[in-house]
Amino acid sequence: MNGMLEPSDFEDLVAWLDGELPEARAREVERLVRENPAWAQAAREQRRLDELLTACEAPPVPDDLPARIVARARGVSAHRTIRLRWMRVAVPLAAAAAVALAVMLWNDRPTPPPSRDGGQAPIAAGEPLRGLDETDRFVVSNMEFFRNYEVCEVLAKSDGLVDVETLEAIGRVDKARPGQGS
Amino acid sequence: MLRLRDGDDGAFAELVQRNTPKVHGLVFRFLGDPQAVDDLTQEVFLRIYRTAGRYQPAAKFSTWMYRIVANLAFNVLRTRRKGHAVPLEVSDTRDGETFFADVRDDKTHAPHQRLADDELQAQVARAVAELPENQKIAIVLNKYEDKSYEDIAEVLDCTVMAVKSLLSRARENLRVSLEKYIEHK
Repeated sequence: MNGMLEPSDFEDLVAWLDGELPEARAREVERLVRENPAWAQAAREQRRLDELLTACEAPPVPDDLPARIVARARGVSAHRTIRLRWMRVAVPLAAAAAVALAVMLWNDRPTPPPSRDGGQAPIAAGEPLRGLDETDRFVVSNMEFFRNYEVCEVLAKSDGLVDVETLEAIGRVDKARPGQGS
Repeated sequence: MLRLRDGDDGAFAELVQRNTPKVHGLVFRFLGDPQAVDDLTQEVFLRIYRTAGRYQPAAKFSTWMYRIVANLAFNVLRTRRKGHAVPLEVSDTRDGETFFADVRDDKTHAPHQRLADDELQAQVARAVAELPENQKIAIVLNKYEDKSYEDIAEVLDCTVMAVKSLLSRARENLRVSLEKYIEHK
């Protein structure tokens, strides 16, 4: 603590300088500062410290700072809105696609042999998805493909009636994109 | 703040306009140098913006804001102390010079006097910034925001007596740090 005063006295001196002391004690401290050299010296030092603190100016605020802050906040807000909108679309689509896939797999339990030549059966272009064996095979052999958001979106919008060719095209484009294969 | 909480986006612009000088000054006092002050000021308002929906007027808005400023500033200082890179390190002075070179000189001091004043200001700012966290909040709110002991107690969530003690310790620490400027007036 202050070398010249007891800690509790120094607290009172500081509170007196700040105008925070009860009236009776304030009068007493005032007298001590007037009559006691140690109190007087401590008070002088603290007043000088006040001068130093007051003289220390803060840097000027750039004129455009408030505008930058508002613009940045709106940017954050817009970004969040876009993300939320995307989630609102993607989550139900993904859920619907997962259910549809599960139903298709369930219906496909007595799986026929893949094909006579042992390879994957060719997929006929232009055939509608609904209820066709070729489509079922396509789904089973392209599980990863159906986890793709864009594929799910096309499926959902088309109500299941979409060309296999179209789906394949989307899947190929997506697989070609780094980091977005599934 | 209540308007912002209730979705009035225009209220945010008003709030920023009104409080930017105050927040900017506080950030500088807490950090002790002009580096990162603009960026951290932005972060304070973004925090306010993001959390506006959860704002409860249990305490004064200024109390809530002071806490946000102090928390963010002290996070930066803790990171600096650990020697990690501080993400908010871009000084926004337009000519790339430090703040003290940019302060307008309306007192027409001679260059050597100006230099001495600048150095003194930097020393004072650093001495305040080096105080323990609660002492720093107490002295900054008291000296630069004219807050009463009671208001400071509310921000720090402590008693008025504790504030009295914090302020006397802060002043004693500052007296020691700035001894040569106090004794050789």
